Amino acid sequence: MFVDIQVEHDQLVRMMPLLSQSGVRILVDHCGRPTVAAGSTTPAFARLLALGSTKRAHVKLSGLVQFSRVPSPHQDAWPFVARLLEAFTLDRCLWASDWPYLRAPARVDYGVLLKLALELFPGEADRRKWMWDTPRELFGFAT
Amino acid sequence: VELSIFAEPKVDCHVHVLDPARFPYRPDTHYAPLGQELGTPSQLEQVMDAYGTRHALSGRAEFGIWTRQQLPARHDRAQPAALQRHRRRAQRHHAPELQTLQRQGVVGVAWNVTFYGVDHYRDASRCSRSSPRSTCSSTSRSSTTSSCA
Repeated sequence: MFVDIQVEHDQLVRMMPLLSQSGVRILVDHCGRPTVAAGSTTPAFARLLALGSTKRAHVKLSGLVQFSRVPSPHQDAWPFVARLLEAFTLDRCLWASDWPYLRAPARVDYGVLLKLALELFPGEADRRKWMWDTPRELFGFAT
Repeated sequence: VELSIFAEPKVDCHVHVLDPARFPYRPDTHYAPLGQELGTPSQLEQVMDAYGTRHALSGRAEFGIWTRQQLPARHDRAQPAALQRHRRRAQRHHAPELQTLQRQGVVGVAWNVTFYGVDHYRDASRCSRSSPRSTCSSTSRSSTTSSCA
């Protein structure tokens, strides 16, 4: 069983003791929805990056619309994606759409998200790992 | 968009299925999406089919669960009554019943701290060690495309 947790801003700081004690496997939604204006060195984002080294957490590189301050393709969020990819590696990063986009602050479309995926991961092998191999293995999906 | 990405296999690890016409919201629900925020099993299946998404992990806003399952079979027949039972059982922390939940496609619990706040989960330590406070599922397109025709 997993705990799938959606946090934003500094909420992960207060949730970490609970997550650390529990020993459960963790899925973090939407890059942890960091505060873009505060940069990628906040305590909350640092804790999220540290989760990557525990190997018991996966992060969804998704939901950029939920924390970006600029329109698609949300380039102000890309540095956060890069830091998470570095910390978690493609072995523990997942793709997600968030369809049908509940409480989205701006219009989102599935095709546009796939275009964004191409921009973030131009290499087909990386994309396959992120969008297929890692989640399929994690959740036990058939081919 | 390069057409190749539509053909590449994909698992969508975060979707929501909301179909209150068939599965009404609880009266005390904190959030009852309407209009274009709704997403029925059939609509999800069409999206997955159009974009080459073979499987999905679906969250149930009404029940706070994430489930791994086939569409449409389990969405149509096993939910939501079964999920209401799952929710009550999960809250009683029965490990054997968790195994039952896993067999039925439930893969985890959902904590939406952005919606409920940190304090909402302050008593969750016991259940996070043994079982869901609320419970997550998955969805596969490949076996269901024909039944959607």
